[in-house]
Amino acid sequence: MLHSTRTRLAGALTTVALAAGLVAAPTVAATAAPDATPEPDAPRSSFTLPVLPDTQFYSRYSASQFSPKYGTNPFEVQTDWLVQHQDDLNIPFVVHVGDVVDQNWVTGEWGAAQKAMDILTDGGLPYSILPGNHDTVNMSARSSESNSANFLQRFNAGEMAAQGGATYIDAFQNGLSSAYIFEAEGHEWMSLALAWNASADTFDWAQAVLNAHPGIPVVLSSHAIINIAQDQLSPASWWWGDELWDALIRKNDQIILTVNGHFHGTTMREMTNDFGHPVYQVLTDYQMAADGGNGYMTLFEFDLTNDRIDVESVSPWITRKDKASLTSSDAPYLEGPWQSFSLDLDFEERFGYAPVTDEVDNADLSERAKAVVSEGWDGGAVGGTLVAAGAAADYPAVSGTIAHWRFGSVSEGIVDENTVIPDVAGESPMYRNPIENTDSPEELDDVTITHTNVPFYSADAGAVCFDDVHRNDDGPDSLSFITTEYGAPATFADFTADTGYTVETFLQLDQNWSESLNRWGAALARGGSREWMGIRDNADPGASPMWLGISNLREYQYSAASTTNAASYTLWSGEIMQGAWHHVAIVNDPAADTAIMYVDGVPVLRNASSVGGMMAADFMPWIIGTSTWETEPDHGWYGCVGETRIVDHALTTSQFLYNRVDITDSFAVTTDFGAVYAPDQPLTQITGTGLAGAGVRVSDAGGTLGTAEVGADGSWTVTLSTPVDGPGAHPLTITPTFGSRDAAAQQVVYLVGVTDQWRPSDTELTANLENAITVTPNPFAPGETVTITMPSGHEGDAVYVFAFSEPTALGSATVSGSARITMATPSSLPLGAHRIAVYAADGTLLGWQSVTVATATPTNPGDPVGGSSQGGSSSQDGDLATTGGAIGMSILIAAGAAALIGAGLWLARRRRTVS
Amino acid sequence: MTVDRRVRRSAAAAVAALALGCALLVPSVATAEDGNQLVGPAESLLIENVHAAGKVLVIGSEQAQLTDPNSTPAAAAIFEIGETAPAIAAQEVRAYPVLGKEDVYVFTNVDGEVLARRSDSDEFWRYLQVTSQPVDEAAADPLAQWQVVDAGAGQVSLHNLARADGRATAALDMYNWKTDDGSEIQTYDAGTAAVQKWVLRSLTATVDTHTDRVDTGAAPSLPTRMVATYSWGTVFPMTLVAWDEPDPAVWQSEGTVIVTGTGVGYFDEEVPVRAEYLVGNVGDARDAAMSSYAGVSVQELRMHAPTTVERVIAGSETTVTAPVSWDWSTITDAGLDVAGEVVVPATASTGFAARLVITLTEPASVNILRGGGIHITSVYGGAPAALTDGNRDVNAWGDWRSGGAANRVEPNQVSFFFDQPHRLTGAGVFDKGGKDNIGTVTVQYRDIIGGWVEMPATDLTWPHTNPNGALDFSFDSEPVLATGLRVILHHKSADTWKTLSEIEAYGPTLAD
Repeated sequence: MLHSTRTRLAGALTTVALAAGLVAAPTVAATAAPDATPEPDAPRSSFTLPVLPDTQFYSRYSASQFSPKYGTNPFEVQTDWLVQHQDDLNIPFVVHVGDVVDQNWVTGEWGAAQKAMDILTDGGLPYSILPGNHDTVNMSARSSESNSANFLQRFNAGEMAAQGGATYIDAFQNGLSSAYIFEAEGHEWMSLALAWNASADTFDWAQAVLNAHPGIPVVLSSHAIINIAQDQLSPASWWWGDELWDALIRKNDQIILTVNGHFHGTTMREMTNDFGHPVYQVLTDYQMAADGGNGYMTLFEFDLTNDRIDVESVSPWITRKDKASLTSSDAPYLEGPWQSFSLDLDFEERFGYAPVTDEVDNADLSERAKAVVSEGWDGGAVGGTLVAAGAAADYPAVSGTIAHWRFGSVSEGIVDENTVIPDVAGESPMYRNPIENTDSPEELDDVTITHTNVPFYSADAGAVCFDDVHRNDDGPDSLSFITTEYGAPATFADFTADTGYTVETFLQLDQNWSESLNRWGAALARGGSREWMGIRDNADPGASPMWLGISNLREYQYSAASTTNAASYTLWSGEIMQGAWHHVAIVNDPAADTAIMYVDGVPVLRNASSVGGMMAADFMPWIIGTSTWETEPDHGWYGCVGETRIVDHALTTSQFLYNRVDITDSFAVTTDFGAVYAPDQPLTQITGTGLAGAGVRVSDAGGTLGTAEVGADGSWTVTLSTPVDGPGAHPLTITPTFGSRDAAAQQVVYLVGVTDQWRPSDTELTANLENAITVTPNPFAPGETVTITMPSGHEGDAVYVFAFSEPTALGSATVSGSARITMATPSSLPLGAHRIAVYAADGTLLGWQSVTVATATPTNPGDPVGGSSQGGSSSQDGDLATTGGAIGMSILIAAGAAALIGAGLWLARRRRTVS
Repeated sequence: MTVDRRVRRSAAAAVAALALGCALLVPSVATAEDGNQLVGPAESLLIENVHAAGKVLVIGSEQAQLTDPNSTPAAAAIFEIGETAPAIAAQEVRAYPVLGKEDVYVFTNVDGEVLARRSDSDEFWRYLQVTSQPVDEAAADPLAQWQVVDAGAGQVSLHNLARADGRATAALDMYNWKTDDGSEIQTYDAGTAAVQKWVLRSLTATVDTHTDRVDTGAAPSLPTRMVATYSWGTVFPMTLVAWDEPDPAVWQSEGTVIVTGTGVGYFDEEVPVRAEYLVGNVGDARDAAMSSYAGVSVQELRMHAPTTVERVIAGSETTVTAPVSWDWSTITDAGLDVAGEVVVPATASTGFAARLVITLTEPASVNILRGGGIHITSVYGGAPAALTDGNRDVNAWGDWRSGGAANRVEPNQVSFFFDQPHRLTGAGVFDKGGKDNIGTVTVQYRDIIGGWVEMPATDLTWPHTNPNGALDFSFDSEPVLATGLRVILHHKSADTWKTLSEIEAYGPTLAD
């Protein structure tokens, strides 16, 4: 199911990419499949190449936030950690992919960045660095020295030659682009760093460098090469990266790997160059994580022994940061999609780089890095993997909801004066004015409902979009809005410093959003005028008392006024990309005395404390699509807005709209699968408990046998369409469901014997029969098939296998002539210690053995369960605006399932670490 | 039904204040030593210096600095308040009130050592000493008695009762303004310096009375956690709380039940606790009242209707505020046309019976723009209050600007924004005593979703053309519910600018 969905998707997207001439040949899944898992303890020849993704927020907030609190910042902690572990992780060189600073014009940010990078130099680690768009004056201009003068003050060719030492080869534009050759594992490797928006002259220089140093594998870095699709999993094209591909990458077989940042997230794209060889393109950028990136960096272990590049994402900051600020998304290393994976590369075949005997001397550096970075870490859950909703109601409903506007039930297409946008929690629906009643020169089709371009992690399958929104030189802005009535119940919501509040919404900027025409457009506002209400805000006296929108610097900006002192407070996110959906929440928590903006569940850096409440004027409407000036529309939102919820108290992140209803916690099967039933006892019904309103599906290998809804009393009964009957083992899968969403299934076996019903008991597992059988392998993973060696004398007999402590039927089998049986184990078998016992048909215990159920082998993100890896499929960035929703909806199934797999793996690994 | 949080909060606050008052009457945790006749029971104090916030006077500490005479530890010295209960307890000063005197105390440490000034005949007469005399003996010795003198702002000075002729009153003084731990405290001539100002902090905990309501016949679960608060800021949740369980019968009848008990405080001391329960069921709501004018719309009433009602607790005068939703399904606009009383019931989902009694009176038309909550702007020409001063005959607004005929503000627009929706039944625009240059007028109102709509005037089409020089224009319209009003003005001629003397908008008086 998962496999076929993903394959179909990959095929469709590859077609798109091919049409654009971006893929020389279709990717073949097998080519990217890493070889069999290497023996972890065997010595290998490998080295670690760390890549530092966007450091802009560390530099920006070093002086104002990090240094006062920590005396250091995540950037310095990263480079210091690399220096400290350059020997044990065998680090020859470091790559920085740009956006060194956030505000190019702020000297202090450059100072912070230089201080952090100097730690590498002082520690004897050479590096390459390049300017990102934030390191330039004009990000739209092609690279030039004058456009990155501040970068060159500190990272010019002379400085690079000095810090790079023997590794330094050459530079272009005084260091905006530069090249290095370092030695590792007895071979030479090149780091080729290209400036933001570099053009043909840079490509020519790079070609000359490659020509001068043929046969050396190259890691090419630049700030933006590949993009990430809206599903936050698949790669997407970026025009400059396409240009680079055609101009340089495809023609130079030396280039094996490209790394870039800029686009928020992690993904990988496998391309095939003109020589039929793979080129791996990796995006890594954590700037939207807590603390402006949470100190995550990406380690590439070039493993010559095992012909692969292992990729891990680690942060030495997690164990340094304030314990009180840790959230479920904090972990010293990450195992999410495209955060821990392997790339197949035969260095010997492609470059003649065989392992040098003397260098086959180190262990698995990736595992060592994870262990080292986890020192001092005492646990904590990695959570928050987003799962698509199974139904419109698949979100945590909360008491105290003042209003909850949703779009999924509204017909697609134009919103006109007869359209009602429902408030599913209260009685304050929204409406659009007839266009002749507004001063804006708007058109009827400027406001539409979409059911396709929706954030996949919203349970509401709809959004409202505002088109043709812009400021005008003369006259009112071109904008549109929907609004509650003045005096609607929600307009009287009274949020004080004692009550707190939560505002949640999903936002997407239009692809064509521009600073000059769309800055400070608001997606959500509460009507009224600050000066009329006594809010102290000289800078913005006519503004609406609360608004959430986008700043001139393309940051989400939220402004409201405290009810305790009538002063306004403002929160800002980091930079937001056009076209990306985000869940944005503002939580004013009276207990913590804070107002915090969360973007996709991560608190932003610029928050407010000692503020409380939301000053408001009774009767004044809630508005989606614009802010107001002296109560009249002003500065519209260019883009789309998804479901939006207002709650009269502080919510926790686990209550945010992107969470799913918990259908597993209360789910249990009460039918007894711990017995061997008599031949005349067909199974006709299965019973259990669960969350009222959720669903249950029972299936076997042939398909669905029945479904049921959990009743109001929390119980369910599935009546099977075909009774399960006949001697032997009948494996069944029982899946809790919510609409179209499946949660982790329970696998059970209904065993039918040949005698009267009998039931094993763990009291029978006496010492004399321990190890009379042998289970192989042991430990084994849930779902793995095991071989059980039997005592002789039972060949040809039917036997029954159970796991304990609570007797759980695993199956039945006929003992082979070599006194063995094989038995598939359920993938829902809990990890940990079990006992497996084998019984004769009459219930006589034949033997038992203690076993351990342990971790499974990790797989790459998006892989089918237990299957081989393939590179992420390509998609065309430009298509997303029109078809992104459809793509998103297809992918989300895969994304959700992959997430579940990932979570399970992680759990398994944590346990192993603990033990 | 839940008791409204705000009401509960304020009730709790009131009781807390009461409890604080009571706490002063609670006997000190320390008890007077047996046999003392001249003093009352001691109060346990920390004596904090104003110049050294967070630091307190400690009697007889061996960590005190060495001083005169003979390099001995100072009898009293300043120390940081302890971080643990035993450390704080060791800093305790016991203040025994001397009977028959006002605000005079003998101070001892926990070991009973008395703080006294040296004899006036002593070379170091300003210096302190610790004595082992019994408290009763000290209570007869002026050198060992200290007068608490109000120094304002909750601060006091501590004056020695003994004063030699020709010398000033001796007051406890943190010598040389030194605040390091162990710095000596002696006496000096009484003054007003911060080093002579002290805050007496009681070591006795205060505990807010727990207040709640229970249904008649339902015994409450008494709190297992009560919070003890200490005067220097320590907040200690007491989890060892023992209540004197009352006779179960007390929960069977309506009224107030007070339960007392004890908790174990920060110092392992016994701390009195108290819970107060109002026994009685929450009944139906008192009628909610609302007044409006005949002809009001259901929509307007809904905006103004109360969202909470007061529910009476049986057997008391106490009420709780409860959220209510009204069932408007039986009310129509037509049913609101005549003066009288209209009753709206609560919806079934409210969970209890409640009534909203609406009194409708004959409407009186007023000029809405002269009321409160009106904000005025114009495209050009400012927003003078004189436009709504009630005087139609005096020029109040004009849109002259430099540039002459080529630079007129044409058209111009004067807008009014309302703090809440108002029903409008007409409007008027006047230009008297001005430039007589208003050519046409269009009057729009802003509806309740923010759109601008021409007023549905009777016998009139927009724009209205001014047939005269001066403008004296008013009109009636179908009633509309407006959140704003604006007047769009075109001139007769570019030869001059436009002026206005008054704008009016008419509507019935609103419910309060």
